[in-house]
Formats: sequence, C-alpha cells, structure tokens
Amino acid sequence: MTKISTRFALLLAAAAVVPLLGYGAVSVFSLRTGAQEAVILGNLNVASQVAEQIELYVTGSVKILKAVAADLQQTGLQQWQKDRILKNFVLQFPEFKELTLLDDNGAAIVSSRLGVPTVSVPGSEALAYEGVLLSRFSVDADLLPTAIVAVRLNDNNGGWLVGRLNLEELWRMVDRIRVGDRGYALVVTNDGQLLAHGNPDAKSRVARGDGLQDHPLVLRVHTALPDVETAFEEYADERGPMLGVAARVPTLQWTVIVEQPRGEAFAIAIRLQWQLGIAIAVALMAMLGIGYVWGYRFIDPILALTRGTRALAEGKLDERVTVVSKDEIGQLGLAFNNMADKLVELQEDVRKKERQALFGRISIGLVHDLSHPIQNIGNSCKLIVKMFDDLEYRENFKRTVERELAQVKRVLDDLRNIARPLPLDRFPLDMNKTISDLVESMQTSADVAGLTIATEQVLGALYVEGDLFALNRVYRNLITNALQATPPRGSVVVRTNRDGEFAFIEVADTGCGIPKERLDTIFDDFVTTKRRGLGLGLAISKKIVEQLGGTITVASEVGVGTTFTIRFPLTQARPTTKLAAG
Amino acid sequence: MPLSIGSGNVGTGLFRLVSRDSDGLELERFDRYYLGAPEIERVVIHPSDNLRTSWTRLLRGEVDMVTDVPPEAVEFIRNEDIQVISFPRGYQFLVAFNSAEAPFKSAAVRRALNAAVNREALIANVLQGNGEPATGPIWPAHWAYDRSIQPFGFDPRGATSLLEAAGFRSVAVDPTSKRPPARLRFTCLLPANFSLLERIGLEVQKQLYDIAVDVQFETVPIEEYDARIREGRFEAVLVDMISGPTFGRPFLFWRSARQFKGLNVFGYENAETERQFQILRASMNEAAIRSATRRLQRALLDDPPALFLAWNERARAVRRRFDVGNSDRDPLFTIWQWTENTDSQPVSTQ
Repeated sequence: MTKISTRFALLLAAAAVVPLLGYGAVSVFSLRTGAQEAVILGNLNVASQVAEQIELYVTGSVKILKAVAADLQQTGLQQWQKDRILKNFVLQFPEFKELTLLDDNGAAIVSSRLGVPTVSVPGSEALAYEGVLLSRFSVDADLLPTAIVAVRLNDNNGGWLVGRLNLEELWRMVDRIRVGDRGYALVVTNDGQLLAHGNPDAKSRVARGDGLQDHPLVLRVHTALPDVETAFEEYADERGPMLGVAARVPTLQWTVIVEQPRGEAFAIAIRLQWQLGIAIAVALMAMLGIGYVWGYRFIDPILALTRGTRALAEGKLDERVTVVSKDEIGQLGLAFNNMADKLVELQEDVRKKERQALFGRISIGLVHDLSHPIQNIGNSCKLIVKMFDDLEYRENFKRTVERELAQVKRVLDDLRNIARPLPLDRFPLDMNKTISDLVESMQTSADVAGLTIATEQVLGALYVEGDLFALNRVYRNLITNALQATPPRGSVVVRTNRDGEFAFIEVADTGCGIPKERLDTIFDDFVTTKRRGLGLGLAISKKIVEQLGGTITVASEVGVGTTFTIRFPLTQARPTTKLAAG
Repeated sequence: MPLSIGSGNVGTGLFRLVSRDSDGLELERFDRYYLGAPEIERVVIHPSDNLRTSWTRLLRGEVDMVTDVPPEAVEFIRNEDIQVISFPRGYQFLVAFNSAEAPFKSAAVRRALNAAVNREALIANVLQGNGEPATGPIWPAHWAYDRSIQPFGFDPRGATSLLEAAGFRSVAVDPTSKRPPARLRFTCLLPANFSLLERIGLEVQKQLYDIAVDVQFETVPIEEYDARIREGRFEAVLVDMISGPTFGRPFLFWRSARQFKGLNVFGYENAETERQFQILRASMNEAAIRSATRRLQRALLDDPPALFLAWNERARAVRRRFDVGNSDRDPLFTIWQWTENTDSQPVSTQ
C-alpha cells in the first residue's frame, strides 16, 4: 500500500513537475540567449563607442589641420608668422607631432620642427578622408604611433600643409577599454594592420607591425560582411575560446574589435543558468516532498481503514481507526468503526448460540448415552426385588449392571480423554491379527444388523508401533459407525495394505455416506452425523491415531458409502515373546 | 667600469670587461667585489640605433633591460612581464649660454631669461609631469640644499624690464621676414633626432618669444653638437646635463672658466660663485657646508650661468624576472643587488 501512496505522490508531483521542467527549459534557454545577447550587445556598444571616439579624434585632428591651413592660406602672413603659427599649434595640440608647410615640389617652407622636417605628402596608398589624405599608420622611432595627414592649400602658391598625427591618444583610448577582467579592445586598419591593442602583453605586436589579416573577426568584417557596421564571432586563440565583437570606423575603414574570453563574457549568464537550474531542482524536490507528504496524508486514512479491515479479517475485532477529518473518508472511518462494533456484538451472539448448541448437543448425547444404561439398570433393579431368589436372574442382573456401568464408564472416559488424552504405550502390533480378532468379536453385532462384515488383509504380518487397547477402540469406533450407517444387507469391509514404509487400514461401508460439506468437521469434538450421541468417537480416534504417529482420512459419497483410511509407519521391531504370547 | 678602456686598466668594480666590439660590450662578474659578488654572472650591453629597436628587442625577450624610457612610452612599455622604474636623477634640462660673449656675458640677460620661463607649464606640457623645476645647478635632493631660498619665479614683466634695463629696449624687425621682430635674438644648438629636447626647445622658444626674445634653433648631428660645445662655437645650447647628486658636477661646469678651463666650456665667470665653490671645497663640517651651499645658491641666482629648466626623471625598463630592490633608485646602481625573481613566471608578450 505504501507503493500506492508513493505513486500517488509521484503522480501529484509529476503533475507539477512536467510544467515546471518545461518552464525551466524555456527559462534556461531564454536566459541563456538573452544574457548572451545582452553581453554581445554591451560589448558591441563599447566597440561602437570606441569607434565613434576614434572617428571623433581623427575628425577633430583633421579639423585642426584644416583650421591651421585656413590660417595660412591667402592671409599674406610673413614666413616667420606662419612658422610661429605652426609651432604654436603643435604646442597647443599634442595630437600633432609636426606641422610642415610644403610647396608643390615637396620642399619645406616652414615647419614646426626645430630640425629637418620629416613629413611629406602621402602617396597613392593614402586614404582620402574629409578632404585630406591620411597615410598608413606607423610607429615612429620613439615607438609612438603616427600617421601623416595632408591638406591641400587653396592658395595662389599652392602647396600642402602636412602634419604628423600623433595617435598616442588612440592608444590611450584603447587602453582605457576593459571589458571584465580580461577583455580588451584592439584597432585594425582595413588592410589588417594592428593599430592599437589594449592588452599590455600584446602591445609588442603593434610595435612589430603585426598584421591581423587572419583574425576570424577581421576576415568576417573585411571580407564576408564588408558593408556591415558591426559583427560578432566566437573563435579560439591562444587564450582559449573568445567572444569578439567588431564595430567599423566607417570613414577611416578601420575596425574596432573588443574581445573577451568567452567564459568571462558569459560568466553571468552561466551563473544565472546554474542558479535557475538549482532553483528548479530545489523546487522540484520541494514539490516532490510536498506531494509525497500531502499524498501520504491523503492516503493515510485509507491505509488505516485497510489495516483495520485486515485486522478484522484476522479476527482482531477490537481494531478501530482514528477518525480525524469530517469528510467522506472520515465518514467512512466512522462507518468502519460502527461496523466493527456490530461485528463484535454479532460474534458474541454467535458464540453464545454456539455454546448453547454445544451444550444442547452434549446434553442430548449424555442423555442418549447414559439414559439407556441407567434405564436398564433401573429396570433390572425393579425386577431383582421380585426375582432375587432366581439364581440365574441374579447372575443376569449382575452382568447387566456391570455391562451398563461399563457403558457409562466408557462415556465418561471419552469425555475425560477429550479434555486430557491418556498416555499410550507402544508395542509392535500386527495389524492383521489385531483387526481379525476385533472383526471376529463384532461379527455378532453385524449379524444382528443384517450386515456382512469381512476382512481383506495383505499377506504377511503388518507391524506398527501401537497401543493395542487404544487401537482396538479406534477400529471398534470406525466399525461400529460403519455398522450403524449401513442399512441391512449392506456390507462392511476392513482391509489392510502395505505401501512402502507404511501400513494402511481401511474401513469401508456401503452406507448412506456423509455430505461433502460435513466431511471437514467430522473429526471435531462433539460433531456427529448421527441423531444422538456425544460425537466424540471420531475425535478421540483421530487423537489416538495422531498420538501414535499416524494419519486418518475419510472419503465419502452420499448414497454410496464411506471409507476411513488409517496410515501408520511400519516398524522393524517385533513383539517380545511375553507380549506376543499375551 | 673605468672611464677609459685599455689593457692596463685596474678596477675594483663589480663587473669587469671581457670583450668589446661593434656589437657591444660583454662584462663578467667580479667575484671579489668588496660589497659582495653580484648574483648576475654576465652582462651584455647592446647599443641600439634608436629606441624602437631596443624596445622591440625587450618586448621580444631578447634583452632584459632598456636604459631609457621616454615619458610618453612608459605606459606602453609597462606590462606583466616588464617593470618600468622611474627615478629622479641628477640631470637637468637647461639652455647653457656662451657667457664669454655678448649678449650672455650680461648676468641681467641671463636672469631675465630665467624669469621668463614658466617651468611648471613646461614640465606639464612636455615632460608629462615627470620632472621638477630647476633654477640652478645644485641638486635639490642634496642634504645641504637650502629650500628656503626663493628661486626664480615666472615673471615675464620682470624679465622684460630686466632686458630693457640691459639695453634691449627696441624690437627690431628682421628684414628677411623669416624671423619675428625681437629685442634679442640668439641661436641655440640642438642635437638632431632628440625629440624630447626638440619639444622642450619649442616650448622655450614660444615662452621666450612672449618677451620678444627670438630663439632660433640649429639642429646638428650629435657629433657636431659635441664638437661645437667643446670648442665654444655656439651662442646657446640646449642640453640634458648632469648636475648631481654631489657638488662635483656643478663645480666642474661652472667654476671660473678663466682660472680653470676644464669642463667649463660655457665661459661662465663669477667671482662670488668661484669663492663659494672654494669655500665649499674647504668646508669640513656640516654647518660650514650648509652655509657655503646657501651662499652658493644665492650667488648662482644672482648670476645664473644658464637658463635652468627642469630636473628630469629617467625611467628604465627591466624584465620582471629580476628583483631590482629599491625602486626609487636608478636600477643601474643597484645591479649588484639584483636577484632572480623565482616567483615571477615568464609571461608571453606574443
């Protein structure tokens, strides 16, 4: 029954678990994708902002250069004034390391440099940007990143204002970017040249002029998605799995990449995923527990009723169930208890009636068994007064009294034996001989009843360990019953047989037979098929047989006859001479 | 290491020369060094043509130390594998004059120029804050240095007045129009390809032009720069000059040029300065040294031998596998105390 409660609890839990698991799976998926998208979006925002700042920085620098150019062209300034302007601008705007005014032949007119000017108009590799030419990025002798920017002067004399743009601020911008603990930004030109790297350990790559053409995100941005402003990619490098996002600097055609170890980038998502999973598992366990407890509490009254019913079935009529609730189960419990009370009353009634019936039967049997001898003795006593002088009568009287008293004694012995069986002596007895003697002694009774009695014996002696007087009583009971149950012209046969280690004795008659429903109780005390008598004969016989290690069974068919079969184990012992002679 | 290398040299230093060729020097540990043998067995010195080469070699792990890190590059160089140690040093940026000739023979002119320079602005704009204003040749960290003496302040008006008092009143226009109008013009030598010095020159040029002093810089190769200084063929020269930590260097450079030519190639001549130098040399106790130093500081303020700009700091980069000990000192001076840092794992610089 516990299984039922377990199944019930599981059923209740499963009813909640399936939706909970479904909800959990959807939540985990949503959380994971949502958190990852948030991280990617956040990193993309960082990259986009850096790209914007870089563009602003370069745009601002170009504007400065254009402003300087505006100050120089068509203003009629003297050379020293132009020289002063350039130098002041360089001092004021550290974005420019050098500003030099070149004529159309590339010769320096004035320069912010105290030494020889180092800049020239960028060649064909330059990028045209907002009306200026922007050269390729390079690292100068002091390891500082620079690029040459040139603006054409709208002057009668023509010429170019060329500046060396200090991109150190770009490095600082990139250095300031930290995404988590190990996420850095880097800037790559459109031809894959590494411009800046926020990872201190990777800065030497900038100094070496490393190319990042093979970087997965660079490949994606520059080749696969050339028109897309932002992109993201997961890839692996020497630091392990990485999450990289890229934002383009559209006018410069540079790309800002923010890369972060994937484990760190998605750490929150992974942690939330775990927390949600644990929460779902805890909820699941709690639900199972609650379902089990609730289910058990629901089932418990039913189990109590079941236990009560089983106890009643086992005869424990004092078993009751505790009724707590007032619901249908409670009402059922009350009904059960009422039923149990009623059963007790009924049982008492039955017992009372059984006792009354038993006493009645015993009384009737005693009356039957004792009234006849007493009446015979009484009658004889009445006659002895008149016929006291008749010697023959006195002798007859004496025999009658002795016989009837013996009958009374036998009845009383039977009653005593039922209460306390007598101890039996065991001697080797030949059943053939014992039965032959007994049948011969009862031949007269059979003749009086108009019956034939015969023996059918196995060849040879059939020794068993037994008490001669007790066994005679058993056989006598069985034969007497057979004679009484068999109508005239019927027959009673007593057979002996041997089968292996056992001796079999059968008493078969052709009498009225015993109804099948009574066969199971005919060996009980005070049970008889006859109209009168105590019904102790078969009960005493069964006790004696079983005391001697044997068994007794009965087979009967109404209208055909009855056969009692006794089985004793054979013995190898033989009677001593004295006993054999006796 | 001895100043000059030769077969007959005898030294007591912690390393001794093994070989020297165009690729550099190789030194080996001197096991009987009186302060104890250094842990480092061998030092190989590689000269580099430029900083970029040396940095790249450091970042690649080919060398363990680079001796000069410009202020702008400190943050770029520093990483988990490389430590950058900055320390104040007894060097100062200054514009030294040829004081033997006009116009710098005039102490008033030199004082005027010292008053015209905003040193804080120069340190902030050019040295990124890595320096200390310099108003004289005495090392401020010297124990006898008197900080109570008021140095030059930034006073352009006073500077103009001083110049006018010295006869530089009218602002002359350059007939070629290549140079600005100025009351005083001079040319300053500058070594080529020293970007920091050039930046300092630009700042000085701009600040002096504010009082109508036109400084024109002449950049020359370093060899010519050295030669012209030695020979006195200059009006002014922008230098990064050693001037500490003892009084020895100021004494060598600024003592009487007439009496002791020596290293005083700048023609500076001041009797009071010379007297105080001599007193200082003869001083045998702390009070006397402090007193002489105080008077020397005043004499040098009254008649500054140069336009003093800033005491500078130097930064050196050393691989972190070495524990260089006291990080306030020049690691070159503590190399005998360096130990190998066993806790430091090599870090890839990719």
